[in-house]
Amino acid sequence: MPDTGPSQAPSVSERVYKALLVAYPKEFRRAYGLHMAQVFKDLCREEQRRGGAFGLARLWVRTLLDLAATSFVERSKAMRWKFLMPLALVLGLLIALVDSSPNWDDTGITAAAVFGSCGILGALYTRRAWQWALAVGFWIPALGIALHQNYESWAALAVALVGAYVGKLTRFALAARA
Amino acid sequence: MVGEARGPRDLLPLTPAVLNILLALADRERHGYGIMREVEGRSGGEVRLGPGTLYGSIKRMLADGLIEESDERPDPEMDDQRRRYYRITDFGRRVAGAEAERLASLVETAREKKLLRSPRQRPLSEGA
Repeated sequence: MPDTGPSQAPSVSERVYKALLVAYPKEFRRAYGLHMAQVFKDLCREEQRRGGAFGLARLWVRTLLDLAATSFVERSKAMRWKFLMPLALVLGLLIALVDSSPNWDDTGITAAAVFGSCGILGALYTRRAWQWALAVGFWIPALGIALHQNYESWAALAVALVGAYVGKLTRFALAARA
Repeated sequence: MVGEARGPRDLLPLTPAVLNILLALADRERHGYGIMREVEGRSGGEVRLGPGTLYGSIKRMLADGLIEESDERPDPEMDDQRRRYYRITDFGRRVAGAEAERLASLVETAREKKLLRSPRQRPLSEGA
């Protein structure tokens, strides 16, 4: 335990806890780090008043277990977002490249690919479903307008939006039935 | 609000931490440490929320529209401008009520199957 004496213990503990908050993703830390440190400081004072050094040691055990479990949960959520967004961008670009190639004229397959991939992404990560639609559906109008002055290709964004929200709603419906 | 687009039952079952936080906020606004103390006191020390569990749950509850931040400072004894207060929303109340009904139904089933005695009798876990 990093504490050197009863009077200094809470402040040393607080500094150590603040340093350990690095285990959480940056966005989470920015939003709640100060409040978590404040709460931990309050807990330190309370535990030391109640049980002295032993109380503080028990608090540290509980807090370290809590930190390990919850930082893993928060990090895995952040990682899922970081992994899926590049995947969505690459997928959208690939679909757009195929769609804009000279020999490709099957709009139905392109629309199904956009709808299906946005649907899967919207179901996997239901929050901010519209961002999947943008990440996948943006490329078709971007390439269509830049290469072929095809302004109708904006319709791909609408297909992507519908796909993402159908995926999201399907996930909710399945969860409700489970 | 994300939560408003769904019905209260769509969020069930609630995690123990979320239900405890909703119960702590049901009668008044509280800051993070106030929530912890209320939960610990009400459960006789059995439930102790860690800072990570508390704020991880608060983050998701804000996103689901179960609670909201409050600008008021209802706790002058422990007031500090840095403390953030939270209050339950109407949607949060409906979700907490739906969860309480779900749990009550489970308790009733347990009673019917004689796993639980009537409230005036001692619980089976205490022995005969």
